[in-house]
Amino acid sequence: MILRPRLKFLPDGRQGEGLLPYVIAVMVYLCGMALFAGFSIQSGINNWSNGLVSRVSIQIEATDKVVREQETIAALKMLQATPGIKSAQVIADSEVMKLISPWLGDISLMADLPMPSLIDVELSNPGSINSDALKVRLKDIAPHAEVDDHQTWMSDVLSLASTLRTVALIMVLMVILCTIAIVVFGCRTGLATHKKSVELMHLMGAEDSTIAREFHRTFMMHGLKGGIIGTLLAVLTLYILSNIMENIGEGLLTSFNPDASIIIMLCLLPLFSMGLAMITASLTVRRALLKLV
Amino acid sequence: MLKFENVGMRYGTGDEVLRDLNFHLEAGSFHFLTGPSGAGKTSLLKLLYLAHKPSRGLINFSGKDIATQSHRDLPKIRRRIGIVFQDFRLFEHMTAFENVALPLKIHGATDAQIKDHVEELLAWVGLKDRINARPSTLSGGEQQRVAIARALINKPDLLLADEPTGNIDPEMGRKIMHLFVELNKLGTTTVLATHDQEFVKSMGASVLMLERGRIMQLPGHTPRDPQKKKWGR
Repeated sequence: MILRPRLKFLPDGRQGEGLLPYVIAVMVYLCGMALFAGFSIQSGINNWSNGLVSRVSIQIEATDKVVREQETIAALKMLQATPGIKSAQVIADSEVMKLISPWLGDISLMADLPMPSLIDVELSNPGSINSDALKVRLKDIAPHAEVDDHQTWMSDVLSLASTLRTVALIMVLMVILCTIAIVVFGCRTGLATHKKSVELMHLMGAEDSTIAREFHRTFMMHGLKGGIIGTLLAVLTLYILSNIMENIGEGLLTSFNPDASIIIMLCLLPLFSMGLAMITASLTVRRALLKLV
Repeated sequence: MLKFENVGMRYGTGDEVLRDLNFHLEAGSFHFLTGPSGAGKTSLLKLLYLAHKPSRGLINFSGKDIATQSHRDLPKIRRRIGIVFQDFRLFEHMTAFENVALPLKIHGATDAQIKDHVEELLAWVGLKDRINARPSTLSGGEQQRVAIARALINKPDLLLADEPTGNIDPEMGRKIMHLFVELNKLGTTTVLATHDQEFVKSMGASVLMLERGRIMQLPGHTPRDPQKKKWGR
């Protein structure tokens, strides 16, 4: 269809839509950023959850140091003997203090503060143990033990991530709908500008597809041009943000580095905008031509 | 070849601008379509070149009822009709050659066929030396001849011309009229719309006269004596 010889009944580059490629570029830029945000959230949450679903933390919260140590040893032995647990180790007091120092400040001044014992458990596979059964067994041998399998707060974080992904998807859909509307308006402007030429072609016996092809070729190029500009701007923005984030810290922010799937997706954006503009223009012109006898 | 039966036409929901049209144009005949301004000549031409559908009645073109033709089938019928507009309607960004070649391209002709036919026809209308000229550099008469060549390039069964001499000087007008007569000799059914009654009388051809949307004079039998009436068939 695209390779058929053109009739060129429309003068090149004079269809009254001069700024259209740049408007499409803005839309593609917004679409790229929203997609990137959605993918990054997904990627970040995956990184988190993959690390956490295979781990369980156990706190022994007895205030009496002797009791705490006895329960810790008993719990450690039981955990190491439990099938489905790859490893279990007590976290040193100094490490525990480091973990809580951001909240309590200089803990060297509070040496007598009773600190809970922490046991870090690595599972063989995610879900390889029954948390509830483990809690019951631990309570028998270490009454002050509390099991944290991260499920409660993980489910809140996953719920938040899911909401953010949905918001990003809605943004992408809105940008696509805006792009379609822009192309429809541009196409109608082109049709109005060249009404006499279109009517003449129609009266000379040109089929709707032949007339529509002249328009959708033009809009296809606008879509491609806008797509390339918008994608380049999005890549530039992500590059700058990535550099800034690298200097800020780790954790969730590390997911700001675009992975291969995001880069491929961004590279496909110009083709997507080209196809979207072409199909929208073709349908708009054909629909308008149907109104002619 | 072309038959109108009880045809009426209106624009939108307005009153009928054409009423109760009944006539038959034989293949290869030549007719003038006349009437005062506002009589409905342009509206009738729109029906003839299938730019508008009748609000009632039957239009039969070469055995096909136009009203029952699908949107997809109409382009094939339109390719059998050549139209010359009063304002020429040439594409300004195209040369004379490209303008005339357009109907052939729509038809799917090869580049070689297009070159041969277009050059031959432009030479026939006296524009051999103006093949690569754009409309803006052509005189009114030359533009009209390009428009005529474009209307004829597909060898249409029906040739329609709306005030073909309206925008050119009288001498060129006579030349153009004689060009239509010559074309009619080749077998093309020809209908020329004009309000120039004197000119019509001087030519003595069949006349379809409209007044306030009704036919006041039916197209008559086209004279056949080639010595007296050149357009006879």
